[in-house]
Order: sequence, then C-alpha cells, then structure tokens
Amino acid sequence: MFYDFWVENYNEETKKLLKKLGFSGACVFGEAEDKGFILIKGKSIKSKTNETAEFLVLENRDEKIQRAAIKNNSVDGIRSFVNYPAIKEMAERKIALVICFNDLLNSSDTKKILYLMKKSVTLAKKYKTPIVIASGAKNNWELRSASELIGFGEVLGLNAEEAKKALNWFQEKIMERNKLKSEGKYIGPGVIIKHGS
Amino acid sequence: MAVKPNRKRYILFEIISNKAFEINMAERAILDSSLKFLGEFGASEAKITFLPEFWGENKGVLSVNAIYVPKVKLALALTKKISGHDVIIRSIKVFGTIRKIKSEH
Repeated sequence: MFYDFWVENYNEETKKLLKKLGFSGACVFGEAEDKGFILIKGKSIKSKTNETAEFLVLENRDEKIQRAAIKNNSVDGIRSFVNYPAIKEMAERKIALVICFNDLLNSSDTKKILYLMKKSVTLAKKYKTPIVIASGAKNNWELRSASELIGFGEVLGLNAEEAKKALNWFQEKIMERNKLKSEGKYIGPGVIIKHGS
Repeated sequence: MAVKPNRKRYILFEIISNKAFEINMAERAILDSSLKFLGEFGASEAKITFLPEFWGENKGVLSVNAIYVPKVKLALALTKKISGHDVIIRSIKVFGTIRKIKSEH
C-alpha cells in the first residue's frame, strides 16, 4: 500500500489516476471531500505557528525558522533542504523530510536541485530521519506512479526497501495518529490512552 | 543484491494521455528526456533501446542496462510532453527476459 502525500488539486479524475498509478491513499493540500479513498488533509506553512492539521508541513529554507519549528515540535514534516543540526533534531522528534518530485520536474536547474535533495537524503539516512517521497502534483498531469517515485528514491541514494518505506511507513503512522485523535485517545507526541490489559 | 554489469532488463511502460501516439513520437520524447537527464555518456552506458514489436495502445518495452533501471525510470517520469501533449509515463513491470514479456503480455 503506497500513499501520495502531497497532491494540491483533487477531483474525481485525480482519484481514478491515483488508483491507476498504484496509490491507495493521498494527502490533499487544498479542497477535497471524498469517501471510499483514504484521504488526509494537509496544510503547508511558511513560518512557525500554532496551527494544526492532519499533516502539517513547513515550507521554508530559513534555517532559524526550521529549527524553531522543530524545537517547538509544531510540524509533521519539512519540505525543504535541511542541514546537519536540524536534521538530527528532526530524527529525535520524528519529523519527516518531505521530498516532492514536482520540485525536480519543474525546476530550471535540475542538477542543483538533485544535488541538494541527495545531500538532504544522505543526512536523513545517516541520522535515521523519516523520509516521505511524494509527487507534489499541482495538477493531474504532474502525478507520478509509485514505481517511478521508488526509482526516484533509489536515484537519491536510498535502497529499494528504504524507497518503498518512504512511500508508506511514515504515512501510516500519521493516519494511525489521526485515527487515535478522532477517537480521543491521543494526548500528545508519545502519549496515548490504551484500554485493555 | 549485486547485479552483473551489462545484463539487460526490459521495462514495460505505459503512456497515459488523451491521445494515441506513434512509436517514433514516443521514442523521440523518451530518448530526449533520457539524454537530458543522463547525459551523453550516461545514455550510452544505459544502452536504451526500443523494442518495436511490443508497441501498441500506448504501451511499449524498453531494453536497458540492469544497473540503470532506476535512472531510466526517473528519466521516464521526467517526460512531461510528447509532441505538445501532456503525458504521464508509468513503468508497469521490469522483466529479465523477452520470453517472460511474451508469456505475460
């Protein structure tokens, strides 16, 4: 089961395409209402705030803002290139590094973007920071299949297993957390109410 | 697992679009995208070859050097347009022998 955790435009056609491309769920950053297909509502922010969402992602290259958001534990992921001290703190707080294929697809300087992505992924691998690979599609034609995103992960320096994990492991944790939140069993990071023996 | 160099793999791919394409149009676009992404040296090492006998209904087979499979997949994903039409190229499966493609498709 793979999930595309960054889709900006969602409609009936997107749903059909996502299913065809091998995804069983998506995180939509925009308007979406659908039943029968696992959907998470995401939100991207530019600076540290007290906002909440099912999947909250910081989009800012400023290291000070990144570190403040990580220290505050206020985001679930960072969609940017992250350097050493920040990436270690992300690993400690289980904040994911979000890599969007769209950044590469629409960049004017492919080699520079690829170099920065590789650098971030190498550091994330070293410090065991969760990695999320997504299409980052702004329209239906920017969607890419799970197989291609796995290949993308492999080019960035992950092995096949790690690349597959980047398409489902962290995403499942987020969905599990949202389920617990809706049931009122989630208190905070690392604190949940368990019933039974 | 280590892969022996120069061993071939066959990528079965599909072009998702509103239009049906001729093989030469698809071939041109994919080879251009591969050349842009891999460079001339990389493209020659990857040994990308179209197998025309498998082309039909916007589906085709590419033969590539085994160690270049992820890179060629990424080059396929980086193809945005074919003859001015928006496309999504998805690789369906990677095969080790032509016989297996014939038996499964």
